[in-house]
Amino acid sequence: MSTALILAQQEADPPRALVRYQPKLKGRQSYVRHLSLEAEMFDWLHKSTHVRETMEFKEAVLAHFRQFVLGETIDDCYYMKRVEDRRVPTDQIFHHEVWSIRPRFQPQHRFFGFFALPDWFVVLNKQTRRKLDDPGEWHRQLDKAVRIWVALLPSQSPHPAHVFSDLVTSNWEHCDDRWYQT
Amino acid sequence: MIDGIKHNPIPERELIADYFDNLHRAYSALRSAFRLSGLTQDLLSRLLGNADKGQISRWLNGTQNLTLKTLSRLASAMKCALIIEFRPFDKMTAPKTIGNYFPTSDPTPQTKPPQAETGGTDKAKVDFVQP
Repeated sequence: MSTALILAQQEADPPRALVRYQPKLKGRQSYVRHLSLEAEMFDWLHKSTHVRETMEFKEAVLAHFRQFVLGETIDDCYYMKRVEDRRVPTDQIFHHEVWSIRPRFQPQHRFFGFFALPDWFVVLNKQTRRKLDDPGEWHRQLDKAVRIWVALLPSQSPHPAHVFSDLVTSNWEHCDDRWYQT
Repeated sequence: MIDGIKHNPIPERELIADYFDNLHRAYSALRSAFRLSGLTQDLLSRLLGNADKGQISRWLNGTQNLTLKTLSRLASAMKCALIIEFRPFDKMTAPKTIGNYFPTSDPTPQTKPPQAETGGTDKAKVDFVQP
């Protein structure tokens, strides 16, 4: 079964494991890329609140996700970044293909996941930036993302990339020199 | 009333959402202009009278709010004009249509990767334009 069909199944079959983020469109906007979120995270982001700070934080995160879904410019050093595995030799640090999406509003969080296919990102887990300063926390979150991926798509690998346009096929900017030289 | 539509207050959450959308476009436009300028953060700091490098980093990272004055000074340093555009929602268009993983009788063609280091165009509401 194709990766796209498995993802669609995970989004459709109860209890759904993933939910596609499809924000309300304005004017002639259209969905340009796919973003699937782990279901509990999706519900948490959309749960209403009367606490203004929480509302602003959630809206800032959703606005960050909308940039991806609505086809705005995505780069690989500010908007999102490949996550390094520093436990392995330097030529293999990106072997797991985990990325973190980086909303820049307080309290800062990192959202971990994979490109399942070109222009289709799956967000699986998150952690506050502050907590990520704890020893080993980046690797714990990296491993968690891998575990959830394997549980959801046991026979599929994340989409591999040699250049950023392998993953984001239009309106992209490459600025992270850690993973390829231009 | 305009065009027969009653003017109900816009829900607060929608105003906040629009604010962050606009903020993202501004930061995205700033970063694109910075990359195209070929400047480094050190050089930008020097051009702005030895501005605090940490602050320049925070502006580019989107962790510090930008005033119109700051945007204008950054534009000057990058030899750009700062153009602010209010675009009606019904003129908002996406640069490409979605890759079609579920073909129908009218399949949308899969977009092709661009060859250059940057792909497509920026729909930012705040643009930095070389004069």
